[in-house]
Amino acid sequence: MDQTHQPHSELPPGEPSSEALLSAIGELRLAFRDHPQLRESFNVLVEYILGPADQTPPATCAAQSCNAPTRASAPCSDAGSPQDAIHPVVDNSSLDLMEIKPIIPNDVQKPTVDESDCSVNTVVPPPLEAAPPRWTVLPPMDSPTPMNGRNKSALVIEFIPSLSRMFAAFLKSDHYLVRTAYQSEDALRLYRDCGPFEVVVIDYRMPRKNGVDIALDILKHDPTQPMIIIAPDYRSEDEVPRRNELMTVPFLLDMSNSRFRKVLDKLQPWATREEVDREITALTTAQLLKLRKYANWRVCLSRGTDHRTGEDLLQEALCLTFEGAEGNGTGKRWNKRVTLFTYLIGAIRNITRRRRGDIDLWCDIFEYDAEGLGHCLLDTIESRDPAADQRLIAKETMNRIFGQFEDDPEALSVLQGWSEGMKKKEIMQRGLSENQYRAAVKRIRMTLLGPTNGGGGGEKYDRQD
Amino acid sequence: MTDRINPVEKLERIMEQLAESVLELSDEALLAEITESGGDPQQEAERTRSLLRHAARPQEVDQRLSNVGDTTDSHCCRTGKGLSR
Repeated sequence: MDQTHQPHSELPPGEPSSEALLSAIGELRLAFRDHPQLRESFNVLVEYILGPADQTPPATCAAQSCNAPTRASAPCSDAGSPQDAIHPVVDNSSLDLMEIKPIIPNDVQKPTVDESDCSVNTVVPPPLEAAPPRWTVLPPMDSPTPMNGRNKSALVIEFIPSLSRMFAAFLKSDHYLVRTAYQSEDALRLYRDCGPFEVVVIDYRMPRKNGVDIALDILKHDPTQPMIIIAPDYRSEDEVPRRNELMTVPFLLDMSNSRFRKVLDKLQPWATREEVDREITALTTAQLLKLRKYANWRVCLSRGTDHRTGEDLLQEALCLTFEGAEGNGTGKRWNKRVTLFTYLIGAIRNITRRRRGDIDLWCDIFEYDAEGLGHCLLDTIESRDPAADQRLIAKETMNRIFGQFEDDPEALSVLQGWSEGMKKKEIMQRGLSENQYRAAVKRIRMTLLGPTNGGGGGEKYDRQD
Repeated sequence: MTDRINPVEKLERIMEQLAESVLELSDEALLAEITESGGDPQQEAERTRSLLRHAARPQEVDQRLSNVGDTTDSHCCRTGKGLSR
């Protein structure tokens, strides 16, 4: 039997089985038995994840669908047990909820096709002509990691794995990168390490620490962090205990898809061109100069083969603000929770970090077809290692830089430390005081900057060929 | 061990640290540094502001180009595709 037909045996340790997921759904249905409104909302959620009942193929057939990759092939698990606590749901390509192949018991959704071949608890190979997978009901997702900068990020703090998956699905379908935490302690640690997020979704009923307490702890780190607290046990916000402690945070009682999206959209307003324009006018001289110098140094990280300048990088960072608003929503947009200056610094940093991993080999080698159209010969080559000529250029540049500081042992020590990936503290342990370190860094900047470069910085080493 | 790190990565680390060091500078120190290196802080700042404003209004640039009967395609410009000999 094909490997992809045995999802259960291939599940990594800690992965809750589909039975456990369905058991949790069953328990929730029971809990909502006396609350028709909640039950209906829950059904909407289940239907959103698993597909409408009338499109649902027999449980075990769906579970064995051979069209989708198995979760076991994923590099890491995103749905470990609550004890696993933290597991980022980052790579949609391998960890997407839509790839999950749940087994639906009879009491959850009635099979609509031949039941004789597909008993509920029997694992059988799928028919070759399988019905369309139910996850097609969700909109197709773009890559969560576009080349144009950081994507939107979200943190889901939910102790029930199945609900956690549902919220993650909601957010992923809206192009969020989702991280999940099952316990309050882990949530706060994750927030400290990876925050702030575009949105944090918290279940009000978290076991050890109430959702309100978690939210208050998060607000201590970042008072502007947008959050949504899920409180489906209550009919109105007035009934929710301690609601008044978080008046700016929306409490979601109705967990329907449309309601959730509505709240999300309210939390993440787009910045208009007029607002961006106003912020550009408000940037101070020092901020503008920092942006320029920062971009000029960072552009050197593109390995100098793509002819970009710091100005290009700066403009690219700003353009991302509008790309998300007017394009397909995958761009990095300025959400106005940080200043435009901070946003641009972050965008520049992320563009160059992302680009570093890509070797731009298309540089100057073209062939021309009969119609006179130019084609780069190296377009199709993929490589993660620097080309030999790039190594050579980099080596020569390094030698030249180090050569300029032969008579300056402190600067040489700093450069050596940087090149080895050392941090400031580690370099200072080599015998440099704080002042000596700062002075050495300034000398390096000034020397590499050149006297005629007036605030540029890095341009001398932008292109060394 | 460190010798096994390729020179491209070493150079990138240096440039990254230099970039980050700019952010650690105080406003006064930054202005002084630029003046010291022969630049005019005000002029540089206004040039950057103008650059950002242009990026924020790409439709105006497109409009002007379309008025002269041209269009922009950055991909073609960069890759050389569409260029005639």
